Amino acid sequence: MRRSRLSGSSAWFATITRTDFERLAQHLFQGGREEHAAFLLAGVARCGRGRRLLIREVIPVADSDFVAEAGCYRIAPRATARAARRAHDLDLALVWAHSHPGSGRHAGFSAQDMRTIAASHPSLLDITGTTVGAFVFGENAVAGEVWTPGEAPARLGALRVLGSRVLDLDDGTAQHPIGNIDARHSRQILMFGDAGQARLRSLKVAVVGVGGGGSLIVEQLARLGVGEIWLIDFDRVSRSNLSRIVGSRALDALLHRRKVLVARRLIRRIDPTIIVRAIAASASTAEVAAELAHLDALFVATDTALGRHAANALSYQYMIPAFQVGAKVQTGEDGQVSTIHTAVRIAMPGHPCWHCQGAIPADLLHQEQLGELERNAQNYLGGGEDIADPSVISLNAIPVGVAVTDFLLMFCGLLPDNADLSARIWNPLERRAARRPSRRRPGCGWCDQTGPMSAFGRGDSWPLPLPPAGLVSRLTTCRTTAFEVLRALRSARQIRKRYPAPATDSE
Amino acid sequence: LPGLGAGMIHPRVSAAVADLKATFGRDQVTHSELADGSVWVTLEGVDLGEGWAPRVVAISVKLAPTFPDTMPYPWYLPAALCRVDGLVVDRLRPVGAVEGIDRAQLSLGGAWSPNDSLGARVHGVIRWLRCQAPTQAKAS
Repeated sequence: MRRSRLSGSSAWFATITRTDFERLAQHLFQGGREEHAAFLLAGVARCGRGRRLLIREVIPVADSDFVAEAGCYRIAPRATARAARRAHDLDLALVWAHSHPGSGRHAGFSAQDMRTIAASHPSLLDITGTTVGAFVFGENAVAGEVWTPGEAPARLGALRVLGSRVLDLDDGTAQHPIGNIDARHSRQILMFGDAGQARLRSLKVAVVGVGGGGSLIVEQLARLGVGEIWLIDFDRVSRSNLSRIVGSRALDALLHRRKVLVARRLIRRIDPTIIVRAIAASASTAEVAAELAHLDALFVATDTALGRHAANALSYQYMIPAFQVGAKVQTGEDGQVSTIHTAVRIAMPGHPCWHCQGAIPADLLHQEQLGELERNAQNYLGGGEDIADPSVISLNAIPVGVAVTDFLLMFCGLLPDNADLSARIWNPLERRAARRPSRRRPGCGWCDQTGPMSAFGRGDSWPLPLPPAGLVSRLTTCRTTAFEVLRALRSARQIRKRYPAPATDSE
Repeated sequence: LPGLGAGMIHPRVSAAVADLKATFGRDQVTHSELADGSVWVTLEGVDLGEGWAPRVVAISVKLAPTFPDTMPYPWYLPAALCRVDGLVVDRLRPVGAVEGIDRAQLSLGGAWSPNDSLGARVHGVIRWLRCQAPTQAKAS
């Protein structure tokens, strides 16, 4: 076994579902010392920081597809040609993987492997016209090389296995410094250990929608010690938000301050070492969603169907776990509360998507994209006007606590491997919890993994099915303007004039 | 940025347009991408039958960026389209200029599954228009 001769600075990463990983491992390690092989077809994501292979398909190489040559076995050219053709047809990267049984927690290519890579990869690049790679697996480790046309070969940094336990495998030689653990986290470390805390610190997580539910998520992620938090919301604080947005103040409402700025201030007060990225725009646009394609997890606390559709698209096309929280209060015609329910839904590659879970009503998704003309023409047939829904902080807190805990247990490896990830509903009026199991719809464009029209694991090769944003309002443009300050001061003066402070005895 | 695919029509939309062309003939179908990310698809030379003037029209539909997770909708017909018996069809409303031409919007929805065929849906719309007997229309 040799250590990779390639530098790790521009390493590739790879992601695979738990189901595919188990299938692959079962084939590669069949007992005994014999090596086995498989082809992996993967989408490619070249996101801002880091490059990823998104494994869509595992093709085991049958024993009959090996040929003996000079005292060792190699994959028959016909098997390689079949896999290369499929990769080319689907515009996917081709990776050949094999096992080194008995190597346990360390993995590395043998001298023979290196010679095979050097001899075969240039022609594979030529045949497929896309990225090719080689992975070698130990029982609990993986090493790899990735070749891309026009670029120097690079090593595989780690393989992420997505499931109820999110596992990162590497070649066993990498150092994972725990770093200085802040005393503020000492009590939670008693639960998930220093390694768990370091894992949280290494994660980049987005919160889409930082209003009532989202601000609670932001606070919990910051206090847990997540290393980088992305905040996405186009909206501004209004007075009616003050009852729910954690960290908001009356002045924020007066100044109509951006919600992302309030959330950023909240994080900085909790832990100024957390990296914060704030985007004052809707996440339902292709440009903003694409900015999130390199993150480790998404939290969705927006009540728009398009927002959920965007997160679902990112989750399956780029293989990122996503957690959606929602609370709904319904009132009858007499104004009395009829039902309350709160929900947590997880979009996890390998499991049913939010479309299949019924979390994205198609009619609502369509309605949100209609132009004014189209909506007016349709309203003639009986459309409704927007009305404010009831919203209460304690209700928002129920699914937020569950979702953040799910995230924590998954990424710290505390959930069992095959834990049930179906939707969780809590009905506070009946004090009743329920699961909402769902199934993948055959031919689903998101979670039916190998369907020809499925976006699963396609990465950058398919556009995200979202409307364009035009101009993305970045943090630099979302500061409160001088005009807004003057308007707020004028408004404050008017309020003081209308409601003068009562004289006190001391005066 | 990744995932934007500038100038690229989504493969699922392309597949639906190909299905439409296979159903009605390549020469009858045109499509173009709009600034809002949707795709404008037009089927030319559709014969609606004797009840309509003009009898032969172009039917257009706007496929939202989220298609096929959302249904093909709304449908557009010429603004001048009317029943020869002078009756008004509820679901057909003039909406002014759309893509530079005065049009009427046909608000015809119905159950839709992402696996449904766009060609079959267009057939359904044409069938619906042809079936608009005077008893199903109301006086203006």
